[in-house]
Formats: sequence, C-alpha cells, structure tokens
Amino acid sequence: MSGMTGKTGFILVVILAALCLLPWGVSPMIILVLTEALIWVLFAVATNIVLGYGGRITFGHAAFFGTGGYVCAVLLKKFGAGLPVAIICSAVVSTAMGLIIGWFCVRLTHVYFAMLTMAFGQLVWAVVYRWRYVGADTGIIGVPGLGSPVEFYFLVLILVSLSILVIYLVVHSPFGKVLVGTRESEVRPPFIGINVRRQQLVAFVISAFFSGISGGLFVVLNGIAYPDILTWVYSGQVLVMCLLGGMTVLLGPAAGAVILIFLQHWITGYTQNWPLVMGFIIVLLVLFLPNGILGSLLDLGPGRFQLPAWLRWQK
Amino acid sequence: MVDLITTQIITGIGAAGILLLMAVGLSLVFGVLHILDFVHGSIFLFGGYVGYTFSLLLAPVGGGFWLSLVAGGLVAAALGTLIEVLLLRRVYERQLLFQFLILFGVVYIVADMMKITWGTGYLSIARPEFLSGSVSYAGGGVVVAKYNLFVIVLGAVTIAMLWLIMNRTRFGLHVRALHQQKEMAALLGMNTPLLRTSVFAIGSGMAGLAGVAIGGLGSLSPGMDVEAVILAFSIVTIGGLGSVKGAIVGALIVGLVQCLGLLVLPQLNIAFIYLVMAIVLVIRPWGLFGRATA
Repeated sequence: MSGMTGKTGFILVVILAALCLLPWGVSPMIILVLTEALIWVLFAVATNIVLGYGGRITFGHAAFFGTGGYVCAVLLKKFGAGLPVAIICSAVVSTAMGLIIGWFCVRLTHVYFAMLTMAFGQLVWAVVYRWRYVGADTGIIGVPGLGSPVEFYFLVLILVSLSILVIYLVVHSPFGKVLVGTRESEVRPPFIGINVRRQQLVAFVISAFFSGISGGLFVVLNGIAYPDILTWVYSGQVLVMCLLGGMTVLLGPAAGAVILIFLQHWITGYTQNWPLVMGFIIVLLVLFLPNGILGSLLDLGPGRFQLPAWLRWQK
Repeated sequence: MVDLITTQIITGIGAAGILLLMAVGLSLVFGVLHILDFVHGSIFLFGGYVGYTFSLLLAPVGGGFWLSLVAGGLVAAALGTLIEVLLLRRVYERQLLFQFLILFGVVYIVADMMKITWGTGYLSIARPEFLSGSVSYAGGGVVVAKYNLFVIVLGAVTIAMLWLIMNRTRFGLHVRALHQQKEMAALLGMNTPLLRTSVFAIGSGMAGLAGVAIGGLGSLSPGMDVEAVILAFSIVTIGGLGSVKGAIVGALIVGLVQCLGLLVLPQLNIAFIYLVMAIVLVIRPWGLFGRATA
C-alpha cells in the first residue's frame, strides 16, 4: 500500500480545503447532497475495515448503521438529548452490538460469514420493524436536527475527517498489518502467536463503532429513522461503494461513496430507473474494473502495489 | 387449540411447499456451481409475472392456470440460462465477493425491468375453479385451503422429478460427477459448461414455478424478489448449503416456525426465522445436513 507520501498528503489537504470553502461557492442543494455523501463516506470506509482489510464479506453492516440511526433518533426525539450526546450514544450502542454480533461472526469465514452477518442484520430489522416504541414499520419521524444545513455540513465534515484519520492510523498500525495478515491466511498467523478471531473481532467492533456514528448522522440529516436503513438495501449499497472506489485503498470506498451519491442524485433528476443504472454499473465494475476507480488509478501510477491474493484473478 | 395448531401446521407445510421449490433450486445451484444465487428471487418473481401475463392471455380459452404454470417455469429457466451464459460464466473462477456482487447488480437490473413492464401494483393469478375454497377435517375443526394442499403436492411432485432426474438419468449422473469433482468430470470429457448452464436453468425453472404458485396463493409485487431470496437463503443455510435433503427439512422448519410463531408471538414471527438461522450457523455452520468440508 502506498504510504502517506508528500504528494498524497498534499492532495488530501487540497481536497479538505476545498470541502471547507465549498459552502460559499455552491448552492445549498449541493451542500445537502455533499453532506449525505460524506456520511456515506464514513460508513463505506468503516465497512471496508472488515471487507477490504479483514477480507470478510459482511452483508449485514446496515445493522450497525441503522442501530446508530435509531439510537440517535430515540434520544433526540423522545429524551430531548443534545446532538453530541446522541451521536456518542449511537456509537456506543453500535459498538456493543458489534461486539455481540461480531463475537459469533468471527468464528466463521467465506460464505458462512456472509450468511451469518445477513442473518443478524435481518434479525435486527425484523425486531425493529415490529417494535411499536420505535415506530414499527413507519419509523421515527421528525427527528430534530441542527437549524442550519451549513453548520451541520461542517459538523459532518469534521467528524468524518477525524474518523477517517483514526481509521487510517488503525489500519497502518501494527494491528492493521496483522489484520491484513489474517485476511491473507487463517492458518499461518497462529504460528506466530496471533489470534485470528480476536484480530477479526476487534476490526469488526471498530467498524461497527464508526458505522454507528455515520448512521446517527444520516438520521439527523434526513430527520427520520425508518426500518429500511437496517436492511440489505443499505448493506448492499455500501458494498457497491467499496467496489466502485476500490477495496484495496483506504480512501477507495470514500471515492465510491461520493461518486455513487452524486451519480444517484444526478440520474434520478432525469429518470426514475436509477436501480437499472446502478445494476449495470455493478455488473460492468465486476467484469472490467474489479479494483474500483481509485484502486485502478493507483495501479497505473508509479507507486503501484501488489493486489492482495483474494482480489487477484484466480485462473 | 389442538385443531388450531394442526391447521397452522398444515398451512405451514403449504407455505413450505413454495419455499421448498425456491430453496431446492437454490441449494442445487450452490451445490454444483458454488454460487450464492442472489438472483434466484428475481427469477422467482419474474416467473410469477410471466405466469400472470399468460393467465390473462389465456383467460378466454380456459385452462390458463396450468399453461401459465408451465410458461412461468420455462421462461424463468430461459432467463436463468441467459444470465448464466452472459455473466456467471465469467465469474466462476473469481472470488466469492465478485460472484455475489455481480448477481447483486443483476437483481437491481431485473427488478427495475420488471417494474417497467408490470408496474408496482399487486397482481394475482386466478386460481382454477376446483382449487378454490377449502376442505375441512376432524369434524370441521381443521380447515385447510385447497390451494395450500395443491402447493404441497406441486412441491412434492417437482422434488420427486428432480430426484429422478438426478439419480436415474445419465444427465443426473454427470451433474453429480460435476458436483463431486469438477476437474475429473471435465477430464472425462463431460461438457461441464453445458452441465452448469442446465443446472442453473433447472434451478431457475423451479424458482419460476414457485413464482406462479405464489401468484395464485397471494399476489405478486415489487420487493418480493429479495424478500423471497433472503428467506430461501435462510432455509438452505439451516438445512445445509448444497444439500437438497437439507433444503427440504429447512423449508419445513422455516414454514413451521413462521406459522407457529404467529400463534405464540406474532410480533416476532419473522425474527424467529433469522434467529434459528443464526443459531444453526453458529453451532453448525455447514447446516443440519451439509458436509463440514463443503
């Protein structure tokens, strides 16, 4: 993986500065879309800890996103809590849930891991869907948010940037290296005293923590928590973002999230058949650009890196 | 109370009949192709919609239901063939994630195409005369809709035919060889690409049959595709991925849990299914009848 070289750092600073200045340059509508995109950026980067770095296919990550969202909605709407408290609680409850669900899931790999995360995701959804206290199938409507969209945009920008910085530090720490090791082989790490399951569990929990924050922000942005945010639609969409940007790069999923959200808003302006477009995008990506947009760009650059074995074509 | 439970159990087995058709196809595809066939639900709904169209076209002639059952199955099998030849063949050698994602993309495409063609309303297929109404047993205590019994029979007959094909024909022998040792099967000169396509087509055809069957039982609407495939996934994981016997038992378990859950704690009857699925996966990841090494 190409490290945080001078050039990469410069590009990131420019992007960040541009994001800070944007509210004075573009329409409020675009700021709203950008806020949504940034929230998805956090969710996608968080999911990619398990997917790209841990090498486990999670098909139930919306459980943490949605739980964060619902916790935030309940605290803001029913208890009149402040936004900081609500967001912190979202993260805490999602983390706890990640610990419980992850504790079972890390025992499995491959198809079975995917199936178990899906089962837990559906389980959480099925409970919330019928739970009257949280509005059952309608959800919680009228969640109070910040008055000004620009203020909320900056809050999201700061939170997401800080979170990604933390995730960067995590995946580039010794812990992150070992995590990638457990992705490449489940047999070899134990020989040097590494507990594969514990490594995977910690990654899963960290991922759930940040997914919870993003879910909380998502609900505040939309002013509503609905059961859909717990379903496969959201779990799947975040996988598509990771695929689109590239799972082999830390910021790949972030790029995927921004592109997908803007594309969605742009295309839904012309046609109702966004799912059709998204379906074709997915199929074409898998067939022709499996490393995603950012991943493929990096492949072309001078600091090219080896693809992990599980992403390479097996002929 | 006993009568009520019996009624629920028979209704449960009826529901299981439809789930069974889906799950057996899904399990067959996984067993031979090692693919988590996420489009199975889309093909199921597609078969149902095709059956609906045929039943409308044939309404003036009569006998529409049976012909639409056949047509739904065949057209669904054709769609399955198309997907296998155009897309799946390119990803067999790729990682699980990419196989899953490409099918996920196809789910979106098929769902939107169906929305364009058939709209977003609830469509149901007219049942034939003699399958409407219900029969009662045990002095009127146990009441079962005739159509539910029909669905049970349809499930049983289809599974029996599949069993015969797999165990009594040359084609079935080849499929089993492919299932056990794909390299060896290819070395012995079997046309493995054709075998794979046929298996996918058979699985898809069964999904299509199930779609028409459910169109007569309730109605068809967008969103049922994924709902159904997730339910079918839970069945095959409970029974064991790749095991047809497991799919049968899994379908019975899920059908019964769904209906008995309705009696005990109606609020949580869907949650029960996923709870059972999670428990089975945690304790015995390869499912009740699967093989540990699969």
